[in-house]
Amino acid sequence: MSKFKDKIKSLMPSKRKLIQLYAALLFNANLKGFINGQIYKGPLKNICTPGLNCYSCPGASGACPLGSLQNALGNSTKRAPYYILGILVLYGIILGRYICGFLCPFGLIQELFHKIKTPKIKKGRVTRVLSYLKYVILVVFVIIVPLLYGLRDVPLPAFCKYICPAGTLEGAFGLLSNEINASKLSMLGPLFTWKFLLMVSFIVGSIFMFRFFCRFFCPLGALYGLFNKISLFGVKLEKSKCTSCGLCTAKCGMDIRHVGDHECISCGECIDVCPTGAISWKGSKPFLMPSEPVISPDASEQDVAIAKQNFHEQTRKIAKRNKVVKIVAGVLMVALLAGALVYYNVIDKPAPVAIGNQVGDECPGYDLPLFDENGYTGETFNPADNQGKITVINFWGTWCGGCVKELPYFDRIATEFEHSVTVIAIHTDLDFDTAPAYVEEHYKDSLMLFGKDELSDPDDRYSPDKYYTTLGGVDQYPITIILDEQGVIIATIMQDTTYDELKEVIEAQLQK
Amino acid sequence: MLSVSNIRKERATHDKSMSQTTIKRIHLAYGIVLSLLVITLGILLIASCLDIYHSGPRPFSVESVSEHFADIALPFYLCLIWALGGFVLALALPIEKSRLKATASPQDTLRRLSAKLDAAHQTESIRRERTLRLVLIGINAALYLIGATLSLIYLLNRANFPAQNANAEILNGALAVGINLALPFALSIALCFINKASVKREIMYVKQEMVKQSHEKIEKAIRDEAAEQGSISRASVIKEKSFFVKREKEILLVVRCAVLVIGLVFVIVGMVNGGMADVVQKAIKICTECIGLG
Repeated sequence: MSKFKDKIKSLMPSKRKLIQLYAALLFNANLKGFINGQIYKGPLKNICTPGLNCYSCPGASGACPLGSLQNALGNSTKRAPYYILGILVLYGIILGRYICGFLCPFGLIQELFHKIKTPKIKKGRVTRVLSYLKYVILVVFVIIVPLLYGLRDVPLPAFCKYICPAGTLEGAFGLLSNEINASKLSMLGPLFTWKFLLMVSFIVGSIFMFRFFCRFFCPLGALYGLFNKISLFGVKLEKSKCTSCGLCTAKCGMDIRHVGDHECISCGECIDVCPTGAISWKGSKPFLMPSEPVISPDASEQDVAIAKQNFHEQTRKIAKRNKVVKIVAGVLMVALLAGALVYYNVIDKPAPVAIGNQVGDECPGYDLPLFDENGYTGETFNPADNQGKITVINFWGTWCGGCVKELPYFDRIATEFEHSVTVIAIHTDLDFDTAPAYVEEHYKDSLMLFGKDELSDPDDRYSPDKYYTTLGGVDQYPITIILDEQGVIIATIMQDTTYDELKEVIEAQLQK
Repeated sequence: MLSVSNIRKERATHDKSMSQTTIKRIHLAYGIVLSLLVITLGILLIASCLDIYHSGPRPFSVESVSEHFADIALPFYLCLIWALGGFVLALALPIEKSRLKATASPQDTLRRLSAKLDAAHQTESIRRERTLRLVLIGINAALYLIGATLSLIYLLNRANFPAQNANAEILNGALAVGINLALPFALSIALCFINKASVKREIMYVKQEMVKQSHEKIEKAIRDEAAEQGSISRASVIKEKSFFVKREKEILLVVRCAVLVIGLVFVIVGMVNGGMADVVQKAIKICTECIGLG
């Protein structure tokens, strides 16, 4: 019976695994997103989750720190990225790579895959050298490339776009697995093939190597690792007690040289194997039991009794304190999770349902204020009133990389089909203050019209744009709607498009 | 002379270890098959995606994607069953966990032994090994510096990133960085093995010198005793602790407070200058580029 109990006990998740599962659920508390196929769009997304968790995942309750950092660096010409840098510094100094060991959902996913019983590739000197690759990725893909392209007003979160597997696994699969997002399947292309390939490689790698992505590729781990030595949480090594036996490094799955260095994820697995008790949690001194008093052989019986009594008294006090702390921490954690689940799934307003204008419907009208490089022109344009000409409506934003990439195609269409097509590029309410300068720099003499959308609810700055929502937009940019000469919708493109695609639709309509 | 009970104990131990060997072999065979299944499944999955991508004009539909993935359903279920079988195997035929081997790294061993060696016994061979390692590390560091400089020159040159075709520009940038860092990286891998051999040789030389050192001390002690000069007094040099070591706790506290204050200030400034609004406005929209769609 006891053997059976031991076996069951060995199958139960460890405390660390439970905390990892708790964190994964907390950072993906928007469970309704998996049901309705939409992401959370509320104000709590100004809080970054500490670990790698794509904010395009339907369940994501907060923003991803890496994605936010890249976007902020890409926006450096407009404002310095103080906020996200401050968040990362605070996470680093308080938690360090404790985040990797306990709070990162993607780390949990890798550890679960690693449990599959296959021969494992052990760490060595070569893996130690390879572990510095993540610093190269941090510098090149997270810092330099977004900054460089940001200076050209082209938002490009390079790490997210070309490398991050969390975006593919949590974001793409989280959205595509829902039937509501079936139209997004049409957006599959070479980029998705590359990212899918990479994601599969990371997963297969995790099966054979412990935390394959974390050790060699994760720039967030690289960033937090810089704070490991000074962070408030984590493991520490008491050099006075250390005998350099090497048991801790042998037990550790990461490429550490010694406990607490920049590769250490503070998982605490080494604490139990240290024979001299040299490894402990930082800040754990008040909670550790005192060691038995050393009584000299010459001490009197009274002294021995007093010493033992003091020891028992101290032990009892600390045990009581530990129990209270555990109960309070447990209650707070449960309350936080319960609160999050209730807020995200019950209190939070459901995402707006797309009105879903189909091909063949008459396009709803709207008076859009026009602007140019000098600001508002005082004129308005209503796409539904543009009778006699084909109208191409494009929703874009200077903050959107795909949008700015395709604008030159619209500019070309506007020039080549000047007499038969009107192109209007409608900027979002978000970051509109950057739009006139952008137009002046890139489209000063363009034949395109530039309009501005407005918030559906002026009192709620998180509400979606009005005309964008009217024409079927939900949560992605860019989208393009093409109307015929009578204002009837002939094409809806819910993703970025190409010049050839636009030309094909327009020429087909002109031939009718 | 062996007793019957000892012979029986030996046989029992031998049988037990044979049984463990068989169990380990079964686990290894299972693991190899699972590894092959997983890799095969990964390849089939990628091939299916490429097939979907090249199969026809957009838009893709749920039906066509499901049809393609249905072709690889059988290997997927096979892999899944085999993976689950591993847990059953672990329960039914558990492997005794091998004890962790406490092996100090060669560097730690060398450091410990060298601390006990007098300056007079730092022979030419020992100095040569150290110099060799230092020179190789220096060359590697120099190559990394050159590679990093060349990479930065390429990356910071705006002409290489005209923002006309981001995918191609990023690929060229990644290749440029890769090529520049390939040689120092290859040398780092080689150094892993060269340094290990060099450290082992130095340990051997240090041990030889330590034996000589201990013989000399014994002879000196005998001579001193004969000359009635008293017992050997081992000079223990207690090094004065440096300023930073003595005040480590205070310095750590100051650094932590400073970094904490900087973080808080940055967050407050970011909230005031609109950085926080930027974060939430981007986070509430799907980043199709980030998830690989477009």
